[in-house]
Amino acid sequence: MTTKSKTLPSVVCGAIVRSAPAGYHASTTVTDHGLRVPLLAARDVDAILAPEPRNDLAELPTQEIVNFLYAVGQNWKSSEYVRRRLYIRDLINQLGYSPEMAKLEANWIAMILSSYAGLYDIIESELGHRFILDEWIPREEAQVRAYPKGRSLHIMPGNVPFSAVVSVVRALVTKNQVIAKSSSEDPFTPVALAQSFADVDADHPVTRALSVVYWPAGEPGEAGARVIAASDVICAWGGQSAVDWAREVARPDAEVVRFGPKRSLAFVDASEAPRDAARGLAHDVCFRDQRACFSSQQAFIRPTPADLVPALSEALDNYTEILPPSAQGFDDRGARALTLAEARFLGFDCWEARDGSWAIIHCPPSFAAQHPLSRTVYLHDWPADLDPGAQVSGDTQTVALFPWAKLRDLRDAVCRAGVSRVVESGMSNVFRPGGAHDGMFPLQRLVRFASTELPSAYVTKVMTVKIEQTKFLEQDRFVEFIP
Amino acid sequence: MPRDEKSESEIPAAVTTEESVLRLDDGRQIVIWHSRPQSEAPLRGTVLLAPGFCGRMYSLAATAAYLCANGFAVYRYDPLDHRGPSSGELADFTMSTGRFSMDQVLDWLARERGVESLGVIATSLSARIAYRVASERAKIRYLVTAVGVTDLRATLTRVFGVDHMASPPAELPPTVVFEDRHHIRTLGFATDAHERGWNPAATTRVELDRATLPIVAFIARDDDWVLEREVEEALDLANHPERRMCKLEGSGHNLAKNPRIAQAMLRELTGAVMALENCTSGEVQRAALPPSFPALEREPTFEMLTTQVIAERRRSTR
Amino acid sequence: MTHAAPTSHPVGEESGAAAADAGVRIIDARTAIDGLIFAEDPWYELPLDRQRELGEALIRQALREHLARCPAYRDYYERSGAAEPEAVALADIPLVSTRVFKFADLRSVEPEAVERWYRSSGTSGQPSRVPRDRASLERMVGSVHGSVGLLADWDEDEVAVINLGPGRERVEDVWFQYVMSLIEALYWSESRVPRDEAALDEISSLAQALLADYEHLIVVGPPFHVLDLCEHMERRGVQLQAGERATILTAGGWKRFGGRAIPKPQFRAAVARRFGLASEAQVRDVFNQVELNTVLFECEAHEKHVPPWVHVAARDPETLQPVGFGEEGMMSYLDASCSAYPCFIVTEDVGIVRQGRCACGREGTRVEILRRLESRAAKGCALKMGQIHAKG
Ligand SMILES: [Zn+2]
Repeated sequence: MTTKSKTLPSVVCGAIVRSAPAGYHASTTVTDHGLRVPLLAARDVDAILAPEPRNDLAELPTQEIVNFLYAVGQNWKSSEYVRRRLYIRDLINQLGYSPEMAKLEANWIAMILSSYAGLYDIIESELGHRFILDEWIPREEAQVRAYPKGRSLHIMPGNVPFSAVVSVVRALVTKNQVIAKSSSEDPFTPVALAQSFADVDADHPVTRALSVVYWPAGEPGEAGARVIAASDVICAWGGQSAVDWAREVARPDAEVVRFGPKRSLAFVDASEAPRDAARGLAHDVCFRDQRACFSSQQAFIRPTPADLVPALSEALDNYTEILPPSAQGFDDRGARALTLAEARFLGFDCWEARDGSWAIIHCPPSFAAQHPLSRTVYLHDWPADLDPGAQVSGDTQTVALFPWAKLRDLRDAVCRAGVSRVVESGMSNVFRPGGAHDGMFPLQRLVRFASTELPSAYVTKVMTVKIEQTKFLEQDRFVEFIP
Repeated sequence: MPRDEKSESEIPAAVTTEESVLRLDDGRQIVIWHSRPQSEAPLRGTVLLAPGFCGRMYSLAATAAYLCANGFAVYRYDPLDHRGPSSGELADFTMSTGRFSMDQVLDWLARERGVESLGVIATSLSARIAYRVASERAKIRYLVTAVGVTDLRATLTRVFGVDHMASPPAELPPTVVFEDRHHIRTLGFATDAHERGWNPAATTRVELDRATLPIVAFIARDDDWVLEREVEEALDLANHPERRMCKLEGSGHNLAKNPRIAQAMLRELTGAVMALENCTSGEVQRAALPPSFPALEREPTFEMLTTQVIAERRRSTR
Repeated sequence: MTHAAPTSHPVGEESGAAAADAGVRIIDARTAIDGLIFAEDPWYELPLDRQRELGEALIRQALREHLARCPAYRDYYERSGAAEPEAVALADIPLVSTRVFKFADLRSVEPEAVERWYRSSGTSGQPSRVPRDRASLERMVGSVHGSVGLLADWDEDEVAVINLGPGRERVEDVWFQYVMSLIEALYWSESRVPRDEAALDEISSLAQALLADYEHLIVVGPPFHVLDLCEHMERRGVQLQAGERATILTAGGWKRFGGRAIPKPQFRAAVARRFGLASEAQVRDVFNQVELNTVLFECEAHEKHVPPWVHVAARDPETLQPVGFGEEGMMSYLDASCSAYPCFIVTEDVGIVRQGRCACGREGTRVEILRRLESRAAKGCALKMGQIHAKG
């Protein structure tokens, strides 16, 4: 039985739209609130696909975009900012976040928007030069410049609000128009972000470049199909079906950037510092309640899992206090109860928090094919002859290690087997500038590189004479210039 | 209705069944099914199954499957004026038509198939007919009955709640309804029963007193139509060591209702037929039956039985 | 009175047969569970108290047998700390998650007694594998036979069935299709998979021909296939006038292409309209899953009645303790009709259990299955299954 009901707006080129000519999609949140989200309407598609929102952003210098995002981030940083307060309230009331987790989420949004230096670092490390989106950058015997792909459609994640913001920011700093297709699980974050843009400047090209729309997963309808057909790049987040769908419907020449589904795990040698080992693992298990791709779901433990359980229980209890878990819906609780019943049937040792906030299962790695998330950690034996590379695959995103210095060498085995990221246990949520995401540098996928190349007057490195091709052919001298 | 002949042949039947038609001089036909074990091993013997009143040949599929699986050739037939594919309407059935049909089939088996002597397994009403046939024909080696009627009039009175045999012909209702659906004309049936001596309670005992063949009679202890004591009286076990009664606990007249009981019964029945085949193969005609029957060699699975039932149902679709 | 299940005896051993007086043998193959499933009088006419009393005794008996014969379940039971089988509350009998059947072979009978291992119809991920022996299969059929009376009292000769699925020759070991195909043991049947337009045309003509030839037509199939058929007939302008002479029986998932749920009342209205049925009560649903041995039928009030040999409870998603009647929970079943494996299961279905007098007038326990558990981790599979189903 739903108690309260909320209706969200859509955002068309930065403008809040409260009408819904195509009707609403109704759902119930984990906290049993009714939720209505407007379905994408044909009228809005006309506005979104007009040339101005795309072209105006493409003309803007990068620094203006970064500065604008910084201004938005400064608002988000303030606990008095009304948009932030409403957003935190929605996460708590509608999505069941604990106040601590909701606040942390808002802080991380403020962090990425405000980190102007970090944004420049990412542009520079991924695209080669901080000004490459504004200027022709000399590069060997050419000058290169990056242009936006144009229109980017984002199939938004529902599990991690921060990832939704990351997806939008990456597209905006590469000057792409953004059409964010919300997830029914979290339609709040993209709308809140768009509103916070308008709070700074409703007519700013960045504000006008962002639209937030909705259609049910896999059912874009006629209006959605027009958006898809006009999208030059699609960033798809979520489960296998969502990312597969994106590849299926995308225009053949469109770029499809897929994030997920991925899982992550840890290798922990707790023989010297069990409390530190437990703290790092507990953080990576509790942060975002394992909803993120980088959350540790399983851990190989030395000397034995049973030895780590007391310290790990204590560390998990501590996280229950400092970062209480979000409310678990019926289905998430049910999934964990079934998993525990299965583990007990198979005779695996299980430990549960008295308040149900976490669970530990000592099981073989084969049991990990099913995982209920919700702060459930599978501990596996780590015998001497275990091949770490055989425990991971292309589906494994992050491998967390403890202690870092002792285990760092595991990286060769696991990365060869498909892992894209190796971090110290307890740090898996911190994506350092320069690092790869799901095996790629995503900004490269959002731009188109162009080059102007040096005229004949410039000699090449391998030739000390001017390039006169006609003459070379007439005299049959080409071979002389082969180094 | 068009049928996919190819798909039918794909069913792995546990038993091979062939259909034959016995054509009588008056043009009427009796349909006979012959089921054989699929193995090449020599046959243990041949039995004829007679269906109960209103029963169809395919309702004896499980019995046939059990016997075939244990080395017997099994014949089934649909009597004249019965529910199945043979000539005539069920409404016109009489005991003597049933008797005539059984005789015709036994003659046909001897004439056309060279089956000179065999065992007979008869259910319910056809058991009453089989008791008489067995007492009069020498070549029936043994008889097995299941919920077999011995006192026709008493059983019919229990079935219809009225003793129609007591009514003068003029006062009989033109038809009675059997099992809520089947209309049976009364006059012909009653007249035949009176005139051919099917009615009197003691006739079965009298007929069986003349018989020398071994008999195994299965009765159901909760049978509302055929009573234990009626069968006991007719069989006179005390004076006949070659006769046996097997009493099924917990079953009513419909032996197929509870498959646990049906399975136990089919195991026992098949064992009984194996024992009877052994003890009549020599000169042991009035010898006592063994205290227990031999174990089955093979038991059909659920899947084999179901496949058999469905294949036979398809064969007999109208 | 308790009786050993005769299926536990090897072939040929006299099951309960004993020599009494000279010339008389007593064959006692009675079991309480079979006595109820195959009773002359239907179970749904029993008063609720009697149903509960019978059910409890049968489930305890089944529990004792599985503890004796299934070591994996016995170990689990002992580890769980549950009370002795005589004392344990039904709510506390340790439950096997249905997902266990994906990775563990559970069996309470000797391997040679297993007729077949049946599997779930899911096309993505690991299917469940469930063994059945002869007794379990016969009781499953008995659960159908004993509940068909909730639909109507048909004469087997007057009924023709169209099964919208593969026929017996092609079902192999997929439980759902296997159960559907067994209807041919009860009634004259044709099986057709509505995989394309030509097949739909053929089914549509077949339905018209059978309505002309038989007193009653039953169409059985998954809801999305029935809907495909109705939509096809509509496109072709085929309108049947079956009146009271047809029953549409659905079984299986209520999801269509893209994982969209089919709303049941609209479904019934659409089907009744296309077949020209006298009443929407002629459109019924049945429920079963590979790990459950009993088939649950809807009455005319569209409530699924649960026979007494199945104890059903909706459970709290965290504690797995039963919630009250009328409240949502995770569906669990203790099914005493299964001898082949311990059918004490908690499933991924969310539903409601009701008890008392039904709108149809019968007393008893009813279930409503609302949806499948959709945890974040499991996401993505449902969509895939819908797509593959839709392709036939
Ligand atoms: Zn009802």
